[in-house]
Amino acid sequence: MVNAEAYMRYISNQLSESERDSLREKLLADSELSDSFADWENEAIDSLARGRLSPADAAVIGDYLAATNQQNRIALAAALSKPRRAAISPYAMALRLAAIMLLTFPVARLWRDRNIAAPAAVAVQLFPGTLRTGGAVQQVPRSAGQRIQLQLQYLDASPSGKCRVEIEAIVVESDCGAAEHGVAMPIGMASGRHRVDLIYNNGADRFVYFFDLID
Amino acid sequence: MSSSPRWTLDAHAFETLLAALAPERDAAAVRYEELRLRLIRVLRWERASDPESLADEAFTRLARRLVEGEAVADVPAYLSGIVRFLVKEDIAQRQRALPLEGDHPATEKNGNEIERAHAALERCLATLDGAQRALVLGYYQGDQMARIFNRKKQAAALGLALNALRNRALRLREKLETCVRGQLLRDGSAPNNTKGKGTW
Repeated sequence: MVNAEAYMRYISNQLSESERDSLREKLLADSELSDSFADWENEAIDSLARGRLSPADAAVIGDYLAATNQQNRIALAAALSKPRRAAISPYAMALRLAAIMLLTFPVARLWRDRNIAAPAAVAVQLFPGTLRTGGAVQQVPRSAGQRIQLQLQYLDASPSGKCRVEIEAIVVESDCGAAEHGVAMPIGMASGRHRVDLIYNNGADRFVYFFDLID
Repeated sequence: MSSSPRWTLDAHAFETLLAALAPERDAAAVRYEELRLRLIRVLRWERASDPESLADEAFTRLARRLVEGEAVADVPAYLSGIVRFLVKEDIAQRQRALPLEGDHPATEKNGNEIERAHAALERCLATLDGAQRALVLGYYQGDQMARIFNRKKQAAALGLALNALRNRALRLREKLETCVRGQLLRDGSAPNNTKGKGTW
């Protein structure tokens, strides 16, 4: 039977000469089989890029890519499977940006312009990948002693189980949310640019967020 | 030392080759392209050093046999035999030229590799039309169960069988990989040799 295991044995040179001759002939005669092998190869490289292959399979694929000078395919697989902002419809993005404006700017302006006491806590939505897509880094204004709840939005994925949030040296783990993950920003965080990592899928996947904290 | 001139694939030989693939010239041209893609893949899986050039060499050797009057009833089987010899020759040639430090090219260690690949990918994606871009991005998004679910939804939305969707995504990914490879070579961030050129 020709399957993904046959592909792995073929590229790792584990077939006898007669098995190899027979398989090669089928691969040249049968488009469907050739496409299946190419598909298994892509899936294996994608899994390697995500750290999901068993050590034995990772060794086989890694050796094959190195021997055939195709290591760049790993980087491409990582880039291709990254969550993309472009996948959000402009309408949905507009709604989300409007929500950010509603949540953050009025609060900041009220206490700055009118000298009204700032609320004790404010929620801020963050979207992953801002730097990667070349967009502006989100500005998060903060008043003295104010607590900020970060609402980390998911994009193109629906994490389940435990979500681990790393904000610099601080690590917080809790259940993933339905559409976003809430986490309190650490008190005493310095102003300036910060990075937040939301890690899910038992450490295999992550969203990365950036924001500028402005006092 | 005397040597006979190298046999080359001229127009007559190429027409003879096409005639062996299919009676109609257009159908033969399509079959030639399909066979060439499968040849390149097989040569890559057998770790040949330059799959594209060796695929062309396999066709040249087949054409020569045909011009010389040999009857070839089963072209893929015949090509398979040629590939077996080509790979053996390639291995022998590489062993003669083996550098002391090993036969694997140096692995790129630059931490920015993914970012450069991503930038190149964005440029290459821009060369696809909107539907192609959506298809390839949708097909390779997500992980495991999410991928399966996404692909079923994608196939249903496009009115395609899953296999047909897979084949379209495969072709687009191969096109993107060739494009990204070219971009990285131009940027100087991919190993500058001819191994596997254009095939990954």
